[in-house]
Amino acid sequence: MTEERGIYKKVSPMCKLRVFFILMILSLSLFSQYAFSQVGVDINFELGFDGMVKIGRWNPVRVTVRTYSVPFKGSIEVEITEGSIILANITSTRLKSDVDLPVYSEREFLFPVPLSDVRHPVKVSVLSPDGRVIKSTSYDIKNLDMRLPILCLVGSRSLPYRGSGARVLALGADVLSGKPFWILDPFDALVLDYSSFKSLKDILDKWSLWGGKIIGEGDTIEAVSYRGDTYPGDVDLSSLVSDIIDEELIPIPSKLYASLSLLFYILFFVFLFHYSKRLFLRKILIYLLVSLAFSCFLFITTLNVKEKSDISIQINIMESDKDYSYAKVYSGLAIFSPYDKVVRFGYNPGNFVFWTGRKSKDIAETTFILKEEDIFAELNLGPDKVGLLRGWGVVNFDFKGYIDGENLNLLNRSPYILEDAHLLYRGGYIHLGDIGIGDKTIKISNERLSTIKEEGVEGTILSWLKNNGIILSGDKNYILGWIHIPLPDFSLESSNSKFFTLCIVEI
Amino acid sequence: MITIVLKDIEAKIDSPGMVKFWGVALFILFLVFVIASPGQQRVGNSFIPKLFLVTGISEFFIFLLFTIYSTTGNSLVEEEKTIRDLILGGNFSVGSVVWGKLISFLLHFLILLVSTLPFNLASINLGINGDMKSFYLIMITVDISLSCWGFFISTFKEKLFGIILLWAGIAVLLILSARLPHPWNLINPLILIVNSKTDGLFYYLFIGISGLILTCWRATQLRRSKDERAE
Repeated sequence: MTEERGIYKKVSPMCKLRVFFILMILSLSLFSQYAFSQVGVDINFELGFDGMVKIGRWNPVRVTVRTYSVPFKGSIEVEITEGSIILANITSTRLKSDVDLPVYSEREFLFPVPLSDVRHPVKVSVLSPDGRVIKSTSYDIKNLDMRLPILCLVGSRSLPYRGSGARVLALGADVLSGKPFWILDPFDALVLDYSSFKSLKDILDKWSLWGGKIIGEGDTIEAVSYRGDTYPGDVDLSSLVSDIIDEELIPIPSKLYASLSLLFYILFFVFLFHYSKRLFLRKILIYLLVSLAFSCFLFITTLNVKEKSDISIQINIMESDKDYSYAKVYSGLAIFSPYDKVVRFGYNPGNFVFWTGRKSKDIAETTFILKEEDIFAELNLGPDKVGLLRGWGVVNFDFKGYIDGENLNLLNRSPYILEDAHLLYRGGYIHLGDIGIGDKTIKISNERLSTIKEEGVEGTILSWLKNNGIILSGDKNYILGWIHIPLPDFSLESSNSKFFTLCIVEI
Repeated sequence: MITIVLKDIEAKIDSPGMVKFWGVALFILFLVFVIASPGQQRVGNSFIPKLFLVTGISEFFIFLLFTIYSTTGNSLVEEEKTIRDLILGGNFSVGSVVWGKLISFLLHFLILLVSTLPFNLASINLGINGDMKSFYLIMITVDISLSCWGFFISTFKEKLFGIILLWAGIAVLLILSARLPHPWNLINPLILIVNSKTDGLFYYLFIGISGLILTCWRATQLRRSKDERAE
């Protein structure tokens, strides 16, 4: 192959050819690797605020999907896991959005993710239309911001009670301008005059994107987009709602009914073939017709068993301040079915937000489908799995009450009748009965002070709220009443739903 | 052949023994349904059974019993003639006797299968899982292929040994074939019913055809011996 020339060896043409061939294969393989990466889809994602993750807050997950020489149609999924493996209370929530991208294009998807547990990585996957994982990546949370919730108060007006653990920070328009928007926490209402609102519009737009709620002049609820990003609230009703659904029996159609029908069918069979003296062909014809009729009858009567087997309970706490015509709502929703079925729960993201509830174990897998207009949760119920959601939001609720001497004046301009209402007054309770829509004056006197009955589901809810310090009696007066119809902005596919909304109105 | 089919079905339908047998079979199915169907459920402590599977397996055993009884020389139907009786006592051709018996069995089987329809429809709605289409396909294929072997046994004068052998074969099929490696275990009809699979029905095509060939061969032999005796 080689021949001596001084101290060097002369390289033969054959050897040169081999080296050239090897180099060509190497370069081709490198090029093909580069070329291959261009085909398909790439994902890149970013979590938190400039690399910082806020605990107990909604955090943005920005996922960038990039296509190359082939278009991509499928979905993108963000999976958040919470809970402890040792305590066996792991819950997993998925956020899903459809992706339809042409060739050589790029799109950013924004997923609001509430993070209250940093022990598990956040997983992002790109899925094909048939559900296959094409690409998957995960992110371990390291840089944390553990600040306490901040109540942003602008102006001199007071805001409703927010629960314990909140700090109050007074800020004016001059303090806010020029600052990054995340110095405001996506937690509470912000009340501004019109001039401040205009000067701070940019920063407030960004703030509302991450969950801030802007209340304009006249106390009307302004439809702010991305309301769904708002933090679910400091009152978690998951444990309450799951305990209450435990007491409920699941509706299953009568076993006796189906069994008696079948027994009647057997008796008919024996009678027809044993005692009837008809021609055998006629017997067969009658028998076939009756069998098919019985089959249709039983099939139709048992057809809706799976559909109607689920039961759901929604418990809401509606807090309203005397100065405002809206109410903050904390919500808990539990759904159960002994059969494998998927139940959908839709809500208006402009006014509400929901997230998977926390309970010790056996929580159904929940996927939140993000659409342009609305958001809905799909709960994959299975045997002994409870679908549990917790939520927070606001509703239009114009209810005022004030005490004038011995008279309690009530102005109910909301669309609801408050059932079994009580006045929390001077450390006691005065039963007010049902409060209908319109104005009403009720005479109150100390002789009428009594205690609220704490029996049944309503009593359990009241006890729980008192034990958790949500209902306070003391220096302030409140009206408590119940609404048993679904609140607006919710849609639930459950066939057997119960609604309990406790209204707490400060007067 | 049509005469054989009509006479055979008439004998079966009007037979008090067969009515009693099927009445008891349906009552057993009813008891299975009552015991297994779901009752009141509680959150966190619920149980919905695979009701269709439970009734389906019960039906499989009932129809197995019916197939063997009905094809090997029916003791439940007094007026029914076996293949041997028809070949030796009548002037029908071998083909019309074998096909006539097979068709009459199939029709009777389908009539009785319809009687289980209310049970199956209620079970599929009240329980979890179940594929009715594959279940009926498995039932029809397995029972028809076994009926061919039953007809073969009915061609003998002394049937007891053949019946014992057939039951032993079915027991082996049900017990031992479940332990065979995949795909040989798909010969087991219970595995097919539990997994709602129809792949293993291919085996039953061979079982059925081999039984049918043997029946035809045996019927031809009987006809020849009859002809020789007549000559």
